[in-house]
Amino acid sequence: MDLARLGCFLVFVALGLLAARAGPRPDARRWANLLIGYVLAVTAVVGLVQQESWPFTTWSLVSGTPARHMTSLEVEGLDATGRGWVVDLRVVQPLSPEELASWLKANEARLGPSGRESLGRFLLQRAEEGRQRFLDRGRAAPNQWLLGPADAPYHFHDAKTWRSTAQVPDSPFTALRAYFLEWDIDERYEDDRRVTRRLLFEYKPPSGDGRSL
Amino acid sequence: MTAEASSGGSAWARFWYGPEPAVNLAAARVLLAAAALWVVLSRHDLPGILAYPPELWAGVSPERRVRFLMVFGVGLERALYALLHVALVAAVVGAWPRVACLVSGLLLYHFAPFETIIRTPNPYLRGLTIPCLGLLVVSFSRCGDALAVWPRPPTGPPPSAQYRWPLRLVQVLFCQIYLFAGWSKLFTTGWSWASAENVRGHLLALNQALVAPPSSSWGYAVAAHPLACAALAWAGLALEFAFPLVLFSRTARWVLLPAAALFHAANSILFRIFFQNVPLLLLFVDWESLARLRRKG
Repeated sequence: MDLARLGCFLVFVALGLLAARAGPRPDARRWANLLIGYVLAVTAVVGLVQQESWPFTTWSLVSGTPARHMTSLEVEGLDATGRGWVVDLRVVQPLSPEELASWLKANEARLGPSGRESLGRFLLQRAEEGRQRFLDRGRAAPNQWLLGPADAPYHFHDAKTWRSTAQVPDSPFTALRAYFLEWDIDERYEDDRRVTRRLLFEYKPPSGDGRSL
Repeated sequence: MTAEASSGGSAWARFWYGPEPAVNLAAARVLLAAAALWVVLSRHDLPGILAYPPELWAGVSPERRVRFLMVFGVGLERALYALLHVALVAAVVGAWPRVACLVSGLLLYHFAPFETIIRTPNPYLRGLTIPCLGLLVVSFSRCGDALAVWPRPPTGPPPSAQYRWPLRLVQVLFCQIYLFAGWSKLFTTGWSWASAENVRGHLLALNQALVAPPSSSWGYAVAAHPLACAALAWAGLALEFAFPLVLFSRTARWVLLPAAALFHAANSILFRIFFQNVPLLLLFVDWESLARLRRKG
């Protein structure tokens, strides 16, 4: 199906180039009509049956009923004393935290020890880079490299970010834990403390590893 | 040809091929390229995702990689990403605008899915879908006949159908965002989507996931009032289905474009959903008329 969808896009480009080539010719309108008709047909099918063929897409957003049981990802960096600090998940940019969390939720069961170690090493490195960047330059998010806070947010914008140096340790992170926070939306509405924190994995670099972050 | 067929054909011709000033199509080119450039500049080293842990890429099939040409190494991808930046700047300023738009559109097709490919091949609502399609559409037309630096555009080209159909096509694509967003709600959930309970649930779920503490959010404040939740639902659906009227009516534009801007502001505050393409509401502005008014004044 992916190759069929590629074909759909390539036909669009081909028709467009033919319309462009027609330029001022007497039959130019025919080629433009063909392109217009194709785009209208493809987008109508995709939109009506809600099957994507990006860039022709379904535009579906919060179209279902909300999940009653929610899950969100929380990553905690541990300093040398073992104290945990919640990590600003923007440190994984340009991958959005939402994509990482969704991927982990879908693949948690398949992630064996080597996978957890690989992800743990990656997240620890990104957390430490983010910590240093935040202390040095006041920003944790790699995406803010040029535009600062004027950068284009992701479409779900997370307010749970590092805003103060009190939220990060002065010394490097030495280990990491990843948790899923799980809750029922109505129970939590009544009492915000009704959230379960479930450990996904813990990562601590082997001592004498020799590899630097 | 019957009168009906003639009328239908005329309506089609009037909609797609009426005279359009060159500056309006050129403005669309600038808006699309600028919108894409903003997002691209805000996705630092997108090709670097290729170097993320291989476990993240394990679910991306070879066919999917071929679909988006994700077959190169990180080095070449970074060079292509740099080229995307250059092409978008060229499209904004009007340097070889048609080539710049074509290259930008093709590279956006390649790079936009990087954001979501580990989970889905459908990177919509990330700010690059309309720019990808729109830049390709304008590249198929004379989008450099105004607001361009090289080649120098002709002086004062007359309004033409050549500038109308690509602008209309981009506008139609943009209207489909609202139309199919509304349709998807009814398709997936039916009319019960518009219930107060449903909207309340979305407000709670999103604010609990994205705000700390959620009780401090505007979403929570609205969720406490069923009437407000129901009003939000119906107003949102009404806007989504009514929005395509902007294609046909100047009055609709005066009402629905500001309403859409308000709609997106409300989504951002209440649901924590940010729509990166809000500036593309300006695709519906008649810049030539505005310039004329300014000259008279």
